[in-house]
Amino acid sequence: MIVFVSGGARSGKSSFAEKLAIESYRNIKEKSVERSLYYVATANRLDQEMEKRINLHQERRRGDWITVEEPYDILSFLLETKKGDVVLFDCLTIWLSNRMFDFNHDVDQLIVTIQTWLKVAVEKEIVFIIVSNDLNEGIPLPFQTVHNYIYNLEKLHREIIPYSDQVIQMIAGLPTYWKGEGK
Amino acid sequence: MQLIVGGAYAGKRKIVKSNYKKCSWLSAYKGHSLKDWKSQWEVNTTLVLEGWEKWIEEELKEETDDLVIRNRLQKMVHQLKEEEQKRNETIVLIMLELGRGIVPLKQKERNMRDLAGWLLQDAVQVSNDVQYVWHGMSRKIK
Repeated sequence: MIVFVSGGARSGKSSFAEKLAIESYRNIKEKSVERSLYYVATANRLDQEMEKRINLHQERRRGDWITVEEPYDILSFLLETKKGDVVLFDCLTIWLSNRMFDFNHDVDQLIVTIQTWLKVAVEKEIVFIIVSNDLNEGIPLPFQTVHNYIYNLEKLHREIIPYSDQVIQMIAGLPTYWKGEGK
Repeated sequence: MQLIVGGAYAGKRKIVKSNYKKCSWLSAYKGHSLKDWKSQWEVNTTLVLEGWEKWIEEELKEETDDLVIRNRLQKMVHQLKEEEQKRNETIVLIMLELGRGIVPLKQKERNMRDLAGWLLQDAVQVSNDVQYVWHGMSRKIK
């Protein structure tokens, strides 16, 4: 199952996605099968501010979580998962900037990569929860790099959504379902 | 009159293209001027107007009082509505949601953002259908 969660800054995306992940993990666990609950963190520990944010997120996650820090290569990780694993990927925006600015990858390459993730997730029957950000609803900035980044991010969102079973927009901590449950 | 609102690259244009077959496009991104809307609107077509933030920027080059501009744009939207009814055709307004970021540092950008927000509210008043576009999907909000 693929779940896409997006929203503005501090709209409660991560908390909600974590709740979803834990719920589906526990539901699966009841069936007494050996499964894992993964948190895939994409942020590099660049500076103190990032370190603080990472600690904040980590404190919230205890117990069953296995944290995987992977800024670039999500596919290799996905290939190692087992049927029924729950994977929370947080977040697409940072992964995109890592790939765009550290590797100069263009959007077509990235779309192929993402299609592969989605196919692997479906084939392996894992619960794959993707968190992203709504960055396109502010005033357009006069920098080409920013335009390209937002354009690419939107392309990725529009690529992921048709594959997703649930699509959720977070507003002030509340979920609005565009696809799936409760819509 | 239909209003399509959403963030940059959210897929607004694609939705218009799939809903309306024959369109006359007045696009600020292609350098079209807002005042030419009547002459650009071919008979038996849907008139689509996009790039309002650019037209607001143009206005701001000549006029510093943002309320004057707001009124001008409001009148403009009403004129469009009248002509739409006269011709018995449809007009589609594509507008950017751009009010959800941080407050811009430059005065001109703050003015632009305010005007774009007001214009959206004014456009909603005269539109019978309003669609919010989010990452390629749309939802009727009026």
